[in-house]
Amino acid sequence: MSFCSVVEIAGEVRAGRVTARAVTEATLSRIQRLDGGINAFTAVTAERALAAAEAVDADLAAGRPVGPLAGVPFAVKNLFDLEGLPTLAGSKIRRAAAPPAHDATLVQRLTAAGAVLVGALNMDEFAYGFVTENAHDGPVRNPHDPTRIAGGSSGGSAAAVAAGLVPLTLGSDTNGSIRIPAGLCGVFGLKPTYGRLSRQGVFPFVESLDHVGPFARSVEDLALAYDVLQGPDPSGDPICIRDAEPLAGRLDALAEQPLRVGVLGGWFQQGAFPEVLAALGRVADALEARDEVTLQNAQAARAAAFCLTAFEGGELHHEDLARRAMDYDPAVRDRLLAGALLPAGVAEAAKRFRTIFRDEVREVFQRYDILLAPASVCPAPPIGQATMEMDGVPVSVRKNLGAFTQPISYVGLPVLAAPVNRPGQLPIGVQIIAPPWREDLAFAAALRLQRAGVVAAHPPTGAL
Amino acid sequence: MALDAETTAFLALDDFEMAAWAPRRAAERGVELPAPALPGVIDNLVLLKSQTALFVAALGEAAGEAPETFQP
Repeated sequence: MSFCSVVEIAGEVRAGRVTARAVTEATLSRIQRLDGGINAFTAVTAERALAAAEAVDADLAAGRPVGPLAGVPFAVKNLFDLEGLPTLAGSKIRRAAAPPAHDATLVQRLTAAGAVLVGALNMDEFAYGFVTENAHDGPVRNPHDPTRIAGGSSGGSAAAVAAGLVPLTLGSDTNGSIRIPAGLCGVFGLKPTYGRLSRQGVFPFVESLDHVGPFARSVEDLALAYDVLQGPDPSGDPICIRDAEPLAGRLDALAEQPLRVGVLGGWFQQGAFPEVLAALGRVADALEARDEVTLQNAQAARAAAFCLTAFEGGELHHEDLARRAMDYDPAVRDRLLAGALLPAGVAEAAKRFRTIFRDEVREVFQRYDILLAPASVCPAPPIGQATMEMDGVPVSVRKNLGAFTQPISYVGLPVLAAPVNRPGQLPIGVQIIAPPWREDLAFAAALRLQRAGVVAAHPPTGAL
Repeated sequence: MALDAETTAFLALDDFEMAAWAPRRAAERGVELPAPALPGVIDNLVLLKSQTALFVAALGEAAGEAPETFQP
């Protein structure tokens, strides 16, 4: 069942052709056999998983209703609260933290739908990075080439799905941390509208920019998970107040409707590798996108997101930085310390600029349903590579992989990151960007591309 | 409206002044800068200053206004 879809597994379990326990045992066995070469997992919750699977099987045997994700294994970035397990958030500092008494809201929702939690996943420390070369837990290796990074900060979440260890994971995205690893690992990832999915029980990074979302290997799987995850949670996350807008039953029709699609130019293509631009061109052609769209303030928006991140991250960690700065991952420590020194006026100005850029984007969405952009500047760089070239200038990999994602999350737009169909080659992802609260349009475009064979998630060749 | 004095002063720093500014500012904020962290912190501050200058320039006259509650 390694590369079976969420839809297939749930269907087989519900039909009684396989037990949830058998699926779980096979999943645990595959993780044990293969994760040593990937390093996606930081904890495997085998006992809990088997108990949950047996409960699903017992419900089925007794004729009780089971959820749409019955028996589907899943895992979560280790910043999601899991009952009884310290929420590491990729850090050394939190290894001794008291385990939470409850699962995060989204974990509860997946579990209530019958999904089976099998573990917690590696990430950049405190979600501050795009590489998942974690100083404490080691690097996550890209399943398509283990000498290369998986991207970050949700690197374990993307790699676990790409390697066929689980069909579904959760991650978080503040500046690109779902979209970049999804692209580099060749899987689908959803960063929904800011406020769409509850962040209750998720260790924060930048409250103003934090999003959470799922990874999967097909558009249908992502849509099924998204429907389960939606719904208000105002007591857990004050910005999550929107009623669920399920996709079930209307995605096919949406995918048949005309879509007005533009391609983001200017900042969103500067420094991109030729193969990235070629992949973007294939997607644009398939969606009959003729127009190149320029967002005049994109570079400034990226700069504002960069500074707001440093400031709010520095504020959040101020106390720990003052007491035990040397316990942080050095690459993260230096960025958080710098952020902790920034004047508050920098963050105020960054928030002010946010509404200006949002209004510019809103105006563009009067003319388009979807905007396209690369998910990252380049395919996955080698592990340990500190710099890369953008327009002939050497720049930091850690700080610049998110150049094309940061302006978009800064204004909270929904984005579906989709892997361009390039079997046997390093994956490249494209951002399918929709207007606020219109995730359905991004799903419709992605479904159309998947049906046309333009985007697809492939099992790794050779490496596993 | 203008930016606040603290932010204006930060933006007015020359890059070479950051090495002296950072420990002073850290003391004000009650944070110690460990010696191994100092070069990285200074590099990051120089980058943050240049990035701040970018969006403050784009903000223009609106730079000092209070931000609205954000809705996507």
